[in-house]
Amino acid sequence: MKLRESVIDKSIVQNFLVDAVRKFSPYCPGDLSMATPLIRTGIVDSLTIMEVTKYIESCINTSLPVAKINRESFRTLEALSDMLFDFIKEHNLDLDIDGLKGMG
Amino acid sequence: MDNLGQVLERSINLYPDDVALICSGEQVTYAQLGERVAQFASYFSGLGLNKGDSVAIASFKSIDVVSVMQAALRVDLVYVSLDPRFPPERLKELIRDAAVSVVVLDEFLSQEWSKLEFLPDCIQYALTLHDEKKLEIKSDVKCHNFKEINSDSNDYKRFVPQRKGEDLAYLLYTSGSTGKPKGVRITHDNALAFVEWAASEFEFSQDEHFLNHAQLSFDLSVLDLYNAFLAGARVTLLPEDDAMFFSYVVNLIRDDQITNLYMVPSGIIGLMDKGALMKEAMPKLKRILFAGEKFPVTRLKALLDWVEPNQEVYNLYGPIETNVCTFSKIKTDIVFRSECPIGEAISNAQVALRQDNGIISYDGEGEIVVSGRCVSPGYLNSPILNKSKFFLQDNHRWYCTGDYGYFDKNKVLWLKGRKDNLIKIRGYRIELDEIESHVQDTELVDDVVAVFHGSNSESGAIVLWCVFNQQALDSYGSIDIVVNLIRQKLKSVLPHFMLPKLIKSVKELPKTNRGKVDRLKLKERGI
Repeated sequence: MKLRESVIDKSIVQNFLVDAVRKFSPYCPGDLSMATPLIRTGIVDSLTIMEVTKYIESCINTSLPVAKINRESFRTLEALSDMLFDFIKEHNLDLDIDGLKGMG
Repeated sequence: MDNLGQVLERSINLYPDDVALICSGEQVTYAQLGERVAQFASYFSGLGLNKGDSVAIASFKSIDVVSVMQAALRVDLVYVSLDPRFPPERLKELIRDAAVSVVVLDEFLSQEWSKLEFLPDCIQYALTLHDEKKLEIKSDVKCHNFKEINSDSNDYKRFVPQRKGEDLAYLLYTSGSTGKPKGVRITHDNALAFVEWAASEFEFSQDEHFLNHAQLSFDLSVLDLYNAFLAGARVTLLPEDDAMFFSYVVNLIRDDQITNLYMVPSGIIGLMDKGALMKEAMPKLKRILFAGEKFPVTRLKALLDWVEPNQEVYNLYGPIETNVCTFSKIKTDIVFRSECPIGEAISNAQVALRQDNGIISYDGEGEIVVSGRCVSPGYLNSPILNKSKFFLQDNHRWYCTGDYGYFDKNKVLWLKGRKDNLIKIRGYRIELDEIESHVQDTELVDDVVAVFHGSNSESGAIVLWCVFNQQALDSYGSIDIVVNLIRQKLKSVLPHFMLPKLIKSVKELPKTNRGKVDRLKLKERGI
């Protein structure tokens, strides 16, 4: 399913990212909240960041600017959602929220 | 010099006004660092601890953390640097094993630990570095906040260490095959043997700028800190949060004019691939040192393609038990085989090959064994392991690395493979047996084996192949629930880099003719 920016609300982006982090992190706790620190808890490491970034890029069909991939964006899921939501809005992008299903 | 703390002392005396450490926008000169070290030393000395007692530092990188390490050496304590991201159960196990008297926590871990019901009995004091509030831990531990402590001295010279040579300086923990992590004891002399060799080989100068990319609990940090201190150079401590963002690191290398980079190969590859590390990004870089895992030859060739003739690339080899014991300067005209050579022994070590019949030789093939000043006196609380990994021969005490190697006709050493189930992922040493041991403890499986699938640490993954216990499957109703229980157990005891990517079910594990689990067959089966 592809969603246009105009119909996206932030919760869709948030759910999309929760699934992505759960998929790629080897260390995701059961009670992952939007405010859980991602880096400090080891939920994401350098490899997870690369995989999640690559996955996001495939689902929005464009590259994220290097400046967007930083410790602030990956601090929490909330911060990551804010960054992605704003980027999608700013560039009028599609988000393929079914991307994970094609990744086995 | 016979005490590791004297390395810093020298530069405090010689270069008091030069910048020593930089971290997250803060920087201190050598004189200021000396004052900060003295404040922590004053705090420790007021606790009435015995010489050789342990201080565990479970904190993210900061200038204060390095000051605590140096203060511990100054007042004859042994420091243990622990990754604060480890699960609480693992941290507690390490603290218990090291009989830690004082734990030093940062804000993040202080919050996490305030939720814990039980802490190891050995802890007498907990010191928090950053929290404005007073630390509260539910136990008999006396808690202090460093910001509230009135130090009665910032005079570095007041503290004169007595311990030296064969006394312990610090402990490093690594994965253990029996299910428990191993504490590697490092003496002042062990550490100085490496630092002195590195200073002589690389001729670090006072105008250099080191980037400390590795965690402080990693032995790569020994060179970053102590060789910079010895040279009177400056070190930027790269916070763990920033170290994961390759483009940030490359910008820092360029903008801060870093001269010395010491990283694991997968980190350097990350900088090349994701951070666009290239000639233009490192005008001042004098040398790239790598260690901790194999550097894939094709990627190393790509690096050598754009390295300038005045920039040096070195492969440093050695397990934690010896720190670096061999080195190889990688020249642009080097002839690679399937990998790059690990080279020749450092000046403070002897490296030889042990044949199956126990004979030590300096040619042919065999297990790489090391002796000399750099070799650890052994593991903490592990007499049986010490007996199997260290031995006396020809008036030398040797350490068995578990790596197989061979000397070529030019007496250059090359790696061939492993004797056991130890693997390296992004520089982390992982005993697959340790993972299996924790799964066995759950009693949810009849048999289990952990296999590393993949050819390199960036694309590979640990996969658990399990023969699930039928009674457990019947009682929980589905494999998914059992798999989740295993995952929960592993998350509670293992650091993130040791967690399996996949847990697969098999009816039985394939065996070799000798009755051992056939890991190769499982690898070939794929995931």
